[in-house]
Amino acid sequence: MSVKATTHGGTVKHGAVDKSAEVRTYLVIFGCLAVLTLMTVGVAYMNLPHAAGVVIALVIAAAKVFLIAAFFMHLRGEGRLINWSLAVCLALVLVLIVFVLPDLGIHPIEDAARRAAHEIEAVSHGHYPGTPPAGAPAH
Amino acid sequence: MKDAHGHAGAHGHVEPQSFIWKYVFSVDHKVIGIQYLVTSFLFLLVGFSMMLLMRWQLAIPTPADDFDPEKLGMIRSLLNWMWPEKMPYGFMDPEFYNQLGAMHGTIMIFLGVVPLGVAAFGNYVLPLQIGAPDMAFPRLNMMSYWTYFVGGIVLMASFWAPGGAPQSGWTSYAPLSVVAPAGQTYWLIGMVIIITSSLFGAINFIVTTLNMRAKGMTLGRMPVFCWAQLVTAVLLLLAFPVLEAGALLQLLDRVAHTSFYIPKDMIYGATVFPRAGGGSPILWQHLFWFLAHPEVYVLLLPAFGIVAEIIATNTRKPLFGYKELVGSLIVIGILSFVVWAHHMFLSGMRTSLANLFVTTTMTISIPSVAVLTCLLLSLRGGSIRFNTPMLFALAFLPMFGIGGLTGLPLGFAPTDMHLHDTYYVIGHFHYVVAPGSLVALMGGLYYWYPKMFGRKMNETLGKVHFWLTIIPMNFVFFPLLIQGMWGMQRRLAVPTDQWHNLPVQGWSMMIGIAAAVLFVGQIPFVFNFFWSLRNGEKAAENPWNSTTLEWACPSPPPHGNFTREPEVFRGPYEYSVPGHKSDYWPQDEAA
Amino acid sequence: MSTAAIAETNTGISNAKLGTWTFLASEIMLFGGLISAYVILRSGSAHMVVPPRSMMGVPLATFNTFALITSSVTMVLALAAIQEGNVQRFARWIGCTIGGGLIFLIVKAYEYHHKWEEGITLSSNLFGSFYYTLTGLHVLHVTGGLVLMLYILVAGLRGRFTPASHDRVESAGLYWHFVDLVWVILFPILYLL
Repeated sequence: MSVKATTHGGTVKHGAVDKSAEVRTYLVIFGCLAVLTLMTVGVAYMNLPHAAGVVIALVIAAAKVFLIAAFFMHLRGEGRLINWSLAVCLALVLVLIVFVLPDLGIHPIEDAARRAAHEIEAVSHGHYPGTPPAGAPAH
Repeated sequence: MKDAHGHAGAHGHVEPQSFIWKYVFSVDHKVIGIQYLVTSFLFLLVGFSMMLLMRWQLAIPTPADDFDPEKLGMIRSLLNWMWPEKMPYGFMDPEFYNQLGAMHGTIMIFLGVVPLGVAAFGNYVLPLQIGAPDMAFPRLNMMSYWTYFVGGIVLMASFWAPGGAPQSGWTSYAPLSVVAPAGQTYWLIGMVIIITSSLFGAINFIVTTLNMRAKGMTLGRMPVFCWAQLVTAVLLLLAFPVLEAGALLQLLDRVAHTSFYIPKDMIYGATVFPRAGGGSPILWQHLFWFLAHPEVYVLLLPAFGIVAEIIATNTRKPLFGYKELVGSLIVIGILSFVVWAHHMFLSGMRTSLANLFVTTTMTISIPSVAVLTCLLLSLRGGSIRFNTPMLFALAFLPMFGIGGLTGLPLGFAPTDMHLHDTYYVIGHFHYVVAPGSLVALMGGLYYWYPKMFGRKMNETLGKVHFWLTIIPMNFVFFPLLIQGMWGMQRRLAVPTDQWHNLPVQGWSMMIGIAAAVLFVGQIPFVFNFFWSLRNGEKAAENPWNSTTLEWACPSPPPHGNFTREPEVFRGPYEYSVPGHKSDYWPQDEAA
Repeated sequence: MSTAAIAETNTGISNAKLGTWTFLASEIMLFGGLISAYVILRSGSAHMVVPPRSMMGVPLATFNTFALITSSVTMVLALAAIQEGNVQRFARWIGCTIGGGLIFLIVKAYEYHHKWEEGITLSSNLFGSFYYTLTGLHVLHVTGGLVLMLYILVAGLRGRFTPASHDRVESAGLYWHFVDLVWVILFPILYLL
């Protein structure tokens, strides 16, 4: 009973396999993870603007997650079923965050921005904040 | 190779002989299915009884002017004797009403209908229909049942907690649920346990369906019921953990004094609630409904599957639009994750976000209607056999239709503003779950009973049960819609305290009577169930002349299910194929 | 994984592995739900007081990150060893994995103690609540993983695993990497931002 490629590459015939090529890959990935960890800590101490800091930290975290999932968890060698299922999971978590953020998360900031925009507009039309714009129906 | 060796894993266990391992801690999917069946029916009975007590209170909320405590009627004396503090003279303490309301919802959904539709029928029928000898992880399956059992006990135990059972509704909205008495903690712990049980089940169902199908049983040849179970399992798997997260946070809010759901400087009992604050009660609603809307479809999809099976068998023709049906089930599954906030239009949500959820909600009605249409069109040109399972399946169509259509005004934010928190909402979702799902599940029981116990249930009693179920149910639930449109508010133990509820209060008496009739109407069913175990008409392998694989093994199936390795040659609903010798062509019959 | 099992399932993926991935999918949603809650309140609540980085003990947490990713790489090395049929090396690498996990837990215990003394407690502020909830659940997962690893070690030493049959090592490995992966996300969002 001969079996074709396993999920880890390499050709097997029931017995043991030589894994030294894969072990080298694992060590390289480990090195990358270590460097990325140091990078994310280093960037954090650079005190960049908040938004930039967040974006960089998240990008680095995503890269690490990708490396671990693709190589250590062998997602690279998995078929569509598992990869797509995980993509669905991630999409659902994103749905949760993205749909709720406008309700509870970012809206105070956005409301403030809208108020500011409204005030600028009002001033440019000769009104002052708090007074109704000209032509507005009386209550 | 599969034929030669059988399936990996599942054949690994041999049939145990001792009673305790065979019937109590069994790893056989059929025994576990029946355990779930019996337990969930018991919980349904408990939940139903709670509802009867509430309807009793609502029918006559306050003593009449000439009420004489010395001359109580029989029922009032009984209630007064049973719960002298909670129901003095048979009038319900509002806190007790709240407890019953919360527990009725929780029990019916998490301990009744979901375990019945998913765990009982899914466990019993799914492996048979795909031609598997057992579930992929039999021991996990057993653990799933027993964790469910423990979770149920924890929930029921809350009645004896100081302050009584949870009072915050099955939705457990924060911050009321955070400041509620100890029963709520039981609820949260019970829920975490039940969620764990559901996850075990979901993992099992998914792996079994994907991995353990018989030779020739491609995904496109799976019966609709299997598809429904697969989609349901995915919903359970992905939606439930989010509630688990939410419940964990609420638990910490209650026991560790965190403030995930407690806003800053919340006033409670005329003082500032002593918490750090800064959390958001609305966050709970989001996390809760992220589960609870898919949960609605968890209640519904198995019912769709069962109705599809029964209709195909009893119309003696292929289902109309198998692919469309399956596709609609999948689309429902996906969309059900993006509609949840339509339960929250009155939470102060901004209009643009509300519009988004209105849109997704209206979109999900399309596949739901597609399913209903396919099932309805399947009847066209069929030679229908009006047996008991078919009656239940047929009743499901208009009943679910009412449930679904009354949901549209709730999905539109503008109309929801008026209808929110009225009896209309209760009428709507009960039409979906009770005359909808539950009726279909009843049909499923009549349909698969011969497979489970080797005998058919009595048809006459079954028809009596059917009419005594479907008529009172409509008298219970339709008036709720009317009351709700008048603006009668839900969750009130004494609705007559509010002037605006008075014009439609009269319906409540009728609803109470109908509910009592409904209760009486279940007696023929219970009798039939036990009587038929010994005295029912003996059922052969395939009593309904059906095509799917569960009818290709003995009734009841032995340990390991199939006496011969099943092999599938065609789609699931090959009825009345021209030129074939009989009007059904089983999936496993070689050409 | 067992090659026999591959051929016998419809998907070609063994039940054990598919089951593990399904379980991990639910774990993603569990942590996803909690992390979403954190992200939402972190950006939306006006009362989440984020402690300065100096109070969070970033160097120690960085060390802990290394402990976990090291234990993750020793886990794949153990898997490679058992696939080559080398039980001795397998046991050594699993031992290292357990060591990494233990170091992580010990450091975490010290961190908890230290933070509590500093006034970051479970109920002091929303940030503290999230910190202890998220890392606490993660610590529970690490602890569960260590129990799993001990079982794998003992079973391996008893010769239960062969190059042809080691489903459980693979499943345990997937779980362990997932725990590592959660930490990789928690570390920046709790300590660095």
